[in-house]
Amino acid sequence: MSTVSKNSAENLEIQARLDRKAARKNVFDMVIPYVGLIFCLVFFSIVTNGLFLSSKNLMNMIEQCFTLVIIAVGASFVYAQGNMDFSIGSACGVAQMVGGLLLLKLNFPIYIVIPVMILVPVASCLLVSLISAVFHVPVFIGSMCIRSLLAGLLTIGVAKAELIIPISDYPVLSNDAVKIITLIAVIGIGMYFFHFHRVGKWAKLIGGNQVTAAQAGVRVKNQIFLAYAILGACVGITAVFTMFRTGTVSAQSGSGIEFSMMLAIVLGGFPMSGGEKSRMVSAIVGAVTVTMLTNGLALWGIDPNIIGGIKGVIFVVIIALTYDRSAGKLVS
Amino acid sequence: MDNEIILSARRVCKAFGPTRALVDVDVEVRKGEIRGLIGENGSGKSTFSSIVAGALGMDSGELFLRGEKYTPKSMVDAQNHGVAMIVQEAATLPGLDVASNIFTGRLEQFTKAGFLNWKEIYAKADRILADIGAPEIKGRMNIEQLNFEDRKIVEIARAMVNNPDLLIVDETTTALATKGRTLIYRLIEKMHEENKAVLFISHDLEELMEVCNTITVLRDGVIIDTLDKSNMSVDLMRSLMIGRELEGDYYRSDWNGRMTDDVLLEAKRITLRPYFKNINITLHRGEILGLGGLSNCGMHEIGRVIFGIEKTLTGEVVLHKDGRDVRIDNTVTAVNNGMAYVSKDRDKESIILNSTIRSNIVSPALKILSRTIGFISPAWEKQFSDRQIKAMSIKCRNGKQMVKELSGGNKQKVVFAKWLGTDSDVLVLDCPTRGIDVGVKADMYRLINELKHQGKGIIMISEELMELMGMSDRMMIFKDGKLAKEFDRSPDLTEQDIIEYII
Amino acid sequence: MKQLGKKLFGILKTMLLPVVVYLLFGLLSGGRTFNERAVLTALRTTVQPAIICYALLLGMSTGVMNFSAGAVVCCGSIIGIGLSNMLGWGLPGFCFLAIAVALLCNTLFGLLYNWLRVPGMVLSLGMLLFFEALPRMFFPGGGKMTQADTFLSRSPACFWIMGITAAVFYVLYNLTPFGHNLRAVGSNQSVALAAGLNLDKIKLLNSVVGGLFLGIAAILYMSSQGSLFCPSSMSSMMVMMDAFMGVFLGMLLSRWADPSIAVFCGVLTMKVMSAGFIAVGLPQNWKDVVTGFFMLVVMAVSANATLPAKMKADRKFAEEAEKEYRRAISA
Repeated sequence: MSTVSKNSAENLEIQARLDRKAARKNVFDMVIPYVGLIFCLVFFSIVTNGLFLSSKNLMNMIEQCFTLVIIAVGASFVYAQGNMDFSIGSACGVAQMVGGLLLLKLNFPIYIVIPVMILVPVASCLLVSLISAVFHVPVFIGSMCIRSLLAGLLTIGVAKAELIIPISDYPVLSNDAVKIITLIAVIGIGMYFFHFHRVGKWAKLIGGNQVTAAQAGVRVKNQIFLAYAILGACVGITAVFTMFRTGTVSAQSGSGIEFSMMLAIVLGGFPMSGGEKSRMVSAIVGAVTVTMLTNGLALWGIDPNIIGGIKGVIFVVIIALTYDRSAGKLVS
Repeated sequence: MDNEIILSARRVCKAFGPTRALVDVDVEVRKGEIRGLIGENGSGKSTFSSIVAGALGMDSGELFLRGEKYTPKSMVDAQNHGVAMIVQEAATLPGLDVASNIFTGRLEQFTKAGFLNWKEIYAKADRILADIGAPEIKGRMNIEQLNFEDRKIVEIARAMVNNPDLLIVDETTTALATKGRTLIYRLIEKMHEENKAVLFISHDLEELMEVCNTITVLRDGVIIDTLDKSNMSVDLMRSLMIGRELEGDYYRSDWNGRMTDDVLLEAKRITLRPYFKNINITLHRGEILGLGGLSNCGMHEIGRVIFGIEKTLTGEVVLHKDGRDVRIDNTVTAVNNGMAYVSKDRDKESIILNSTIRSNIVSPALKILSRTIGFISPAWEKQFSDRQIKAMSIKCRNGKQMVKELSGGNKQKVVFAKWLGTDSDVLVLDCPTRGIDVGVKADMYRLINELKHQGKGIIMISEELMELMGMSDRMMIFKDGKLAKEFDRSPDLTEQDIIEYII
Repeated sequence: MKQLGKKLFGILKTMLLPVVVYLLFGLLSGGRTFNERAVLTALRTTVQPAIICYALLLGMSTGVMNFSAGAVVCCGSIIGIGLSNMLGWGLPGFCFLAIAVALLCNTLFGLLYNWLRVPGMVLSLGMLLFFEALPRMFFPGGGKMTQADTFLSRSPACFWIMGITAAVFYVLYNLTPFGHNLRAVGSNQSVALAAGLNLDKIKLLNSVVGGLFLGIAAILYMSSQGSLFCPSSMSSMMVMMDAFMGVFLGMLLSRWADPSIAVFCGVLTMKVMSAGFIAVGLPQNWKDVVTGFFMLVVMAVSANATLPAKMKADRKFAEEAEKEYRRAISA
């Protein structure tokens, strides 16, 4: 005991230094996503001579944001658990395809079509969670397989011709007020469950340490299923609105959402491994930043296929800056 | 400089974050010396041996080997200098054959024009294995065919590849049965005869007395004393390790092993492969039931089955709660019915390191804290956790501090705090005092005793016999997955009485 | 002698899988695939994915699934043929350049992996997008090969390439310190590090060697397609899909035979199966769905391969316990 007291002054100083360092890193991590957001805003406003901020483009961006922000709400639960899903883009496309076919070919009423469109991604997300949580296939690889399976289905569904949806028959679904109300409702409910309900808290526990969570009485598998179901529902909602905005379903529908979401998670400062530090706001801020990036680069006149490459580079750079390297050489 | 000295360490210091593991350690090891290193968990003995073996760097200080300055960069570098270590954990590479395991990191020595010369590799591996006294293991064998003990022997062979001058044996013997032990003892004897040196680390004080000719005692990273053959005694070693006499109320002061007849929990004929078969355990209200034995005797796994982490293959675990019988076959049922579990591997299983003290403490209580439509107020969480932090007197800035920043003892207090918050009836404590310092240990013992008097049932699993003898009302000693002997609480019981049934 | 016999038997068992699948679909389709041409086609189309498979297997040995492998192949093919056409170096020049480009790409990946210390799979995803955009920056029109040069992907040239590549892989994986160090790292990184292996060096070398295989695959890919568009929005994933599946099947089979053979048989099985589905009348565009589904099954099986043995052992142990209990009661 004496040695501890002998060195306690020294210890306190070391401790204080570590604390200051940690506090600085915390502030840095909190602020950087917002700095990125503002940087995108300013940068694209300048390089596009203000076109970026024109009311038409702003409306456009709000439309585009809508999709990604709603998915970000659902994805928060999955990513907080330290999981991910690479099939959501294709799931969104397949949901639209199913909806379109039901509406056009089978003449189902809209009040049946919408729930079905929401349930399709729920089912596919549950399949992803089943493959990883029950069959122990790494989720990165498992969801990649389901992605290609769904992409195949989508190609078959629209093989003969793209589906043209008569959007003018359903004005409610492209009404801006409805969209904004939906957006606020989804964010509000999501925030409640994520930050003030055991579902969100358990998700963060699972991300922190699955074994500990299980020993603390959390039904880990059920919670993983639930998180994926929430993500699926959010994807379903966006599928509905996207279909009635674009009016067509093609093999490209929904493509790229999965990577945009991952990029959003990274850009927003949401920890990739999930856990305690997960905040829904981070995912939402990231989603907005990614939308700006996609929109701004296109407006700037960059080949849309090269934009993918640029996003890839940004992704790698941000990951490199923020990833917790405590594993050192042992990373795999 | 005395050329009889093989290794000398001067003012070696090492800190892990805020914890100081070694403080100005000076050690000299002579030729032909078998030096024992003892100390409680966290006393720094493993840290010191890891530094000498090149597995860890030091913060300051110097090492000299045969009089020359010695700064090992890696374990291979240390081996090339003639220092090799056999560690406690399993360190073989599955999926490779025995020879590849022995020569990992040195395969380049066996190439001809860039290609491996397998004939030479296998021949040399067989020779080394025969040299250390295990000719039945062959270089061609797949490591997965070997049992735990034979794998350890392969590790020993890996250490002996370069005929080291200094061999470090870090708590290897505790996990081994007769064959492995004899092999290591013979090896040590040979080293002694060849005028080389051995650093021997073990928990087993009798074993140390037998094997070593000098013993150094470490406590909290400081060398307390060095004993030679003439003044070695188990009692002296123990009091030096702990830092005070064992009498008084370090453990419990009373010697009556009384408990109620009220049965809280029953494990009926539980079985888990490959550890044990048909084990029966009954836990009463107000009882501390100690489970003891060697680390691999199955007692840890019994705890895991009782808490529902592992499923039993036969029979069942039944909790008697409010007149109902609840069958425990998963952790969720266990927690929801007032059971608690402290894992032996605290950092990996019992706490979330990368999380705040608060969320760790509230983690099993989130259901209790939920109100209408499942609402959980951050204010209630704070209140709840602050109460526990105060009750357990956890040393921290506030509840928002990260658990990974705490010392071992305080981490363990967080684990206890989270279970006390849920007011658990049955506590399964697997090595509850592993790796925490003496001060906190005493607090833990007091707390466990208090819980007993509140009428809780406690299963305490421990590798430290003194702790078991000091705390439990009843003790079940296991050997190779079988109940070897049951003891009731008694002041007349000695460690020797129990050890007989352990080995 | 016994060892050799065991080895041969293992190889036989491994080769049995594609044969059984072939016979099964042959019977189902009423013998439509029982001809020389069908067999040759299946073998020929196996070559390029199997070579990509070797590269993936090297990565998987250290626990990294490299999703950018398909994009690297595209880079090698399109940039290689583009440069070769531009410089007028012809077929030899193309082969050299394709390998060089793939080597450079994978070396870049390996260097970034060591510098950034982020999980390889996550990194490979970012690099996938980057490598897909790369050919478009230089050759936005894609790549085109003269008809005369496409013989490399046809019989018999492709089988020579396959044989040589498999031999190179076998030697590297089994007979050099590199292969063994790789296995040690894959087996347990921290033990390997403690044993003194230079993880950074091994991982980088691993990427470089993987690049070599991807370069060879790029040559075959270009030859088999004749002309290529630049990949976009992850379409390069399709290039490595067959290999992706083959590697998991191959890892299952490698319990019996050396990976160099197991991987080939794995890919061959997948190829025979997808050809078989078409022969029994499945529409061409259902191929992706069916193969995707099969991949899930294969992975679920390979991830749980030890489960039946464990359950069996558990059951046996429980029975023993039961027996002992009854004996104790009667005593």
